[in-house]
Amino acid sequence: MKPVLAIFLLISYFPLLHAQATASFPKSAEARHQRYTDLNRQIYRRHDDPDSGKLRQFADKANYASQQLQEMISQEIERALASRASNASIVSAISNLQGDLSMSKWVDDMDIPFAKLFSLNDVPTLAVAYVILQGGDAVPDSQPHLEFWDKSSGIWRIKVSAPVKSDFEGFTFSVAELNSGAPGEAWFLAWGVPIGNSVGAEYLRLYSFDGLRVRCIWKRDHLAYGNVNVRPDTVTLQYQDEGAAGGTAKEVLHITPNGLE
Amino acid sequence: MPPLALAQELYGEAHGQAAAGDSVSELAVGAAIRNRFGDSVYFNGFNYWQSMKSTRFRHEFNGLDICGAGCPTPGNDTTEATNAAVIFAGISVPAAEVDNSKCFFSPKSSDWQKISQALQSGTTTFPQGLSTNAASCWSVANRQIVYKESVGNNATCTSCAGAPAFLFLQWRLSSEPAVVGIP
Repeated sequence: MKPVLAIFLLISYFPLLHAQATASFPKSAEARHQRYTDLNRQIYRRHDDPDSGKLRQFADKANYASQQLQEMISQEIERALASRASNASIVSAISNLQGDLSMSKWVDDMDIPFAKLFSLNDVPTLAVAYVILQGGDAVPDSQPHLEFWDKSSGIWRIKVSAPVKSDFEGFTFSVAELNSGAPGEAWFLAWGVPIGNSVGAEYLRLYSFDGLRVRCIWKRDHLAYGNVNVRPDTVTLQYQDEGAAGGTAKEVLHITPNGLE
Repeated sequence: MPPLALAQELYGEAHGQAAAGDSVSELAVGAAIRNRFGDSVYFNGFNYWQSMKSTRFRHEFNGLDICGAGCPTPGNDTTEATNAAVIFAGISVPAAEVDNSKCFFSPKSSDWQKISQALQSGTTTFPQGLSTNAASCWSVANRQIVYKESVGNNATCTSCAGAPAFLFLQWRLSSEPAVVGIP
């Protein structure tokens, strides 16, 4: 085949190939948000949306829909990363896609979605956290995600996901970066409260990402009336302890190579 | 035989109340949990008493997490077993009247100050800055606190002094009051 003909064919077919690749994801942000909403409401039953939640009781279909929602969010993150992304622009991209079907609408002070761009061992890296809502709106089966993306292969790809679902499904979910206590690692603290818990019992996990793997290196469970205050080098916890003065304990935890002490 | 999971939850949540002479709290808490069975649509997958102990739901039931020494076992004749039997059988008693509530929480003293103000004013704005806000059922705009006047004050939590041991939560239209009272 002559080079001119090959180029002609490539140009001729490119729009078709591109259309196929993007057919499942509309181009405009508004259309993508609408598609996300249409899909999410099939697996999330709300009192003020009587037709919602129709796929909810079919576990396979609900899981498939949830995977599609996750894929839509990944596409949105990729789109944001392709255009001079900032932490704020990535958070905004996810928030705009999710609209009202977002965990941040549950309570005002929850810092989710979360995004943090950084360099780890000279590789551009992104930590991103978000929640997909499933189930019913009394106590949602909230599906938390904490993903680590990097650009080690020249394009942004998800490297690994933290095992947050087993720890925080059905919980509120917040994430913050800490200064790492170990060279070559990035540390992120996740915390949340089981929705419906009578004393707001707080659960915390500290995840380490070394560029390849993510692992939980520290945890605390069931801190009644828990309050978490995160700074880069310290985490301050306050919780009910009838043995402490006024019935409330306060701990200021510092970064160590093994986690928080 | 009453569901053991319910008896254990009641023990963990409210045994201290029963021991202090509050005969309402355990029944009211049990009634709120029972109400979920009529609303499986919005409490996805919560279909059996045993569901309380499933991996997905057990952390919602704080009593199961903290049911320690004295926690009911099969065959125990405890206050909690009796109250669990009343709830399980659906016996109608005033203590188990919690309107349409399906969730509950124990407010701290500072929370109760804000909640009682909202109750008196009849505002539709949900009180801000409660210590258990994030954990509560339903989103803020559709969450209504039900104050059951016959529930005793918290007998086991120092920072909850003067506050009722339990408040209850039900769904509301956003135009309805954020806090209501019942006997």
